[in-house]
Amino acid sequence: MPSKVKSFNLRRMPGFTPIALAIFVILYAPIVSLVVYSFNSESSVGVWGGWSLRWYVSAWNNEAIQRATLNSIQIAIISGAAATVMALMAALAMTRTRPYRGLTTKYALLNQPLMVPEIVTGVALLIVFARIKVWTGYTGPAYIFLAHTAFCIPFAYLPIRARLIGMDLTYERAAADLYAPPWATFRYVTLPLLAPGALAGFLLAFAISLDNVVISEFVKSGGQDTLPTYMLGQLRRDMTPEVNAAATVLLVISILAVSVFFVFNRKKN
Amino acid sequence: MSVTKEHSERLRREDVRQRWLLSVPALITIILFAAGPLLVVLLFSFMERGDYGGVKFGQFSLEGWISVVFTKDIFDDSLILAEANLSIFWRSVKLALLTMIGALLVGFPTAYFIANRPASDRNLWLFLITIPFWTNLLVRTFAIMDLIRNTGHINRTLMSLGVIDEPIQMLFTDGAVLFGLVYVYLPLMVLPIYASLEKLDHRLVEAGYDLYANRFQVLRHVVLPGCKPGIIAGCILVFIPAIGAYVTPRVLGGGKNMMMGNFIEQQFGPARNWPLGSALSITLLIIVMVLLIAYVRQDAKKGDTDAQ
Amino acid sequence: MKPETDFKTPSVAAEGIVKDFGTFTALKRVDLTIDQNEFFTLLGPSGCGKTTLLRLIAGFEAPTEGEIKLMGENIATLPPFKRSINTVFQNYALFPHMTVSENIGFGLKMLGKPRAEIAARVDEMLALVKLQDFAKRRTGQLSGGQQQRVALARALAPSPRVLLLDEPLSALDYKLRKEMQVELKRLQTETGITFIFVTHDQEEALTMSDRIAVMSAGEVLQVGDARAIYDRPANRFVADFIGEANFLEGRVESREGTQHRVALAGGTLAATGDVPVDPGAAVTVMIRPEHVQIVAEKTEGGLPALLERTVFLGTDTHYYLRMQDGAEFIAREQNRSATVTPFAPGANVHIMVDAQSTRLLRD
Repeated sequence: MPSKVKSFNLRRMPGFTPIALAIFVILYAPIVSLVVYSFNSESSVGVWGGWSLRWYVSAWNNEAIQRATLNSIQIAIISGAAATVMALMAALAMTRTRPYRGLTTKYALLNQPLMVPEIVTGVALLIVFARIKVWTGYTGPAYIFLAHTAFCIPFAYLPIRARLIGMDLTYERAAADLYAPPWATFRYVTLPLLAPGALAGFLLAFAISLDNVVISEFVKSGGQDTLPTYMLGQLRRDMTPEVNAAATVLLVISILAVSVFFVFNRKKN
Repeated sequence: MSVTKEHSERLRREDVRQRWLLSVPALITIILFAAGPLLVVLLFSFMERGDYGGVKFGQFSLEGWISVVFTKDIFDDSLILAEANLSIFWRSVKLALLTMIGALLVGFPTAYFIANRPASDRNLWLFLITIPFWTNLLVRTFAIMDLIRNTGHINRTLMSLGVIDEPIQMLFTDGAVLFGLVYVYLPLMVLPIYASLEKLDHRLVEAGYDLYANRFQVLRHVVLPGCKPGIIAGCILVFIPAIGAYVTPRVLGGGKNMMMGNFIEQQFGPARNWPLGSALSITLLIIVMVLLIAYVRQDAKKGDTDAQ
Repeated sequence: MKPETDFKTPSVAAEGIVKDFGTFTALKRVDLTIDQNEFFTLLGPSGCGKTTLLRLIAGFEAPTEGEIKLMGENIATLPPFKRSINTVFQNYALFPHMTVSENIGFGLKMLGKPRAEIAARVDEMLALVKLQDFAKRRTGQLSGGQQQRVALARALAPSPRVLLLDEPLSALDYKLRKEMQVELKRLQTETGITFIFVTHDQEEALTMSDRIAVMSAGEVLQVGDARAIYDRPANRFVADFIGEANFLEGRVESREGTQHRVALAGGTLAATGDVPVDPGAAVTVMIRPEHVQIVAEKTEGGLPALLERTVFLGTDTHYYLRMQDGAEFIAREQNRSATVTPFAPGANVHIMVDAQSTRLLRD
């Protein structure tokens, strides 16, 4: 140290840094522990017996886990994509405009799934779908897809809207000025500029769908378990490391989706 | 002249029509599969209870709403306060409030820490805070359960160190639920506080020190008032999901330490009392809506002062 | 479409244009004709309606009332992509996801021109704005001046009849702005396209324009060339907005045609007006600071004044004076030699202006 004079640090608050660092440790400790123990070769939880992929293999061979995992991913992709397309259209209709009648109502409606506790939406869908199931006799996977699409829309909408608002309307004006009719303006200017936002929206919707347990739990029919509802169902029994392995897979997929989301969202700045 | 007028009027109408058409798919989906069913819940809360779950259609009854707080005496059918229900409500409110306070106590220093990192590092720290939030809530709750159960790492470590002889019962306690709720909803506290801290003009802090304030006084008189909107926003944003929590109390609280969410679920499951479940759902919804309106008001007020 | 040889038809004509935004009226019945091959400037303070008028011509907004004619044809109801008019936007609005070449070629592509023709035209345009080496660059990697040139090339590439420029130089620094002024004038002369230029900067307007329309509060106050606007302003707003001006209140004493004698505090002055004003009417006399001569002795036609402050500015000396009726008055004299001794503050002096440099205003 060339100078012994310790300058007064205006930004420091005593104790804040240790608390913050402890929070980061606590935030990640359970996750890290879960992931590490999913690679445990011992069958008893909590006893470390060395690294192994044993539980991943056995989880994959467990037909219920395998089906639930694939089901989760399928729902997340399809519902996420459907929600993204709808959110994109809605965002085009609801941003960069002078206020018009119904705009506030539309906005409130679009964000409605964010505001209602999941448990309430869950029982509401249970009640309605139970009726529809009796009337139509259809008990297929469409219910889960539709429910997930609905609550994913506001999440997909967020980054798309943010991107649109940050996108100057003069780009579209410039295109129209340069002889592009509306569809060409959309195809050559709006859509390419919006693409990172749309991808970010999809990834967020994907992660949210993958995350959901409450609504899936109330909406699913027999044999339609997603990985989270399967895990919840296993709660009563003793946790097996197989579930840890499946949970780790779920975790890795969500973290990947969210990381890519962050990368795309940051690019706009 | 009138051609021009007609034209500009037609353009406006076309624009509005197109905007409506584009937003229809999203709105219909939400009305059918999120918003609309809530009305059915409201309707069900006023129906007679079905014998095997469900309701008796067309049979109006206030039974569901009455049994939110009252129960019938077995002997003379008089109404008495349902203490079991009330204790669940009380636990829900208590845990949500404690979650809010706990999240504020640790969330504020965390937000302050992030806001005072070099600008280039802040995004990384924010990323670290938000990552768990967007990743599977159930998985994270399971991870906590794994740590604190009687055969979990914490108890094993403490026992092997000889600190305790018998495992401490942590799982299935209110404390475990509280810890879990703070854990999963902390980012909702950190992010709005961070946002207002980042906007805080650092020259005000310098002015505070210049005018003889010590660290605590600067925190108390400059920093905290400066990010009050963020703190209020964070508190509301944490309280709302906490009071409606379902997964965390179910996994960490077990069967006994129910919160409202679990109580509602029970009415549609083993208890087979759909009108009561519906009435409880509407009650929860109203609590949340009132808080949200308070939040929006607060947010609008913040916008006003920003504009001045 | 009128034949190309018809030079008499105005390039752009705005007839009785009214534009309302809700309860706010941005343009109050504007009439303007802009000739072919003209460098025409809309000048005015922000909020005067100049940009709104430009957007109406471009087609981004529809007028509430009135007609906009391009070469004699009403285009007020055509969408922007059907008007042979291109715009250089204030912040250029270069498409960030396209290269320089793709930006320049965009209009031609939308017009359905063959690929080879587009490529040739893009090269031509790149040469015109001296950016041949930047064809494959993304627009984000360019400097402000380069972006400006790309925006120009992009708007000129489809050979529009009219080019609209919305404060295109406001984002550039002073030196670059000077260069671009020369460049714009060159491009306009070379291409022979009508330029309609919007600015709030009077110097820009005076430097480049063939004619200037001065706007305020949704109205066109005066149209004319730089000399007319500066030396013969139509009213006090125009006189005040362009250059510096002194205003003295007085009353018409006598007149001969448009030459008036005006009685002011401390004496009379000769003043020229556009229209005859009858004796007895209250008027304002406008005098530019640089047209004033300061003398120590009372002379025929001089007005007495008290010198309050003298500011030496190198090339000029500024005199801050107070007239007998208490009005402030500024005079500016060039320092023609190093030996000139300026008047000292506190001196009683007289100001002299010749009759051609005073301007009678009637409001």
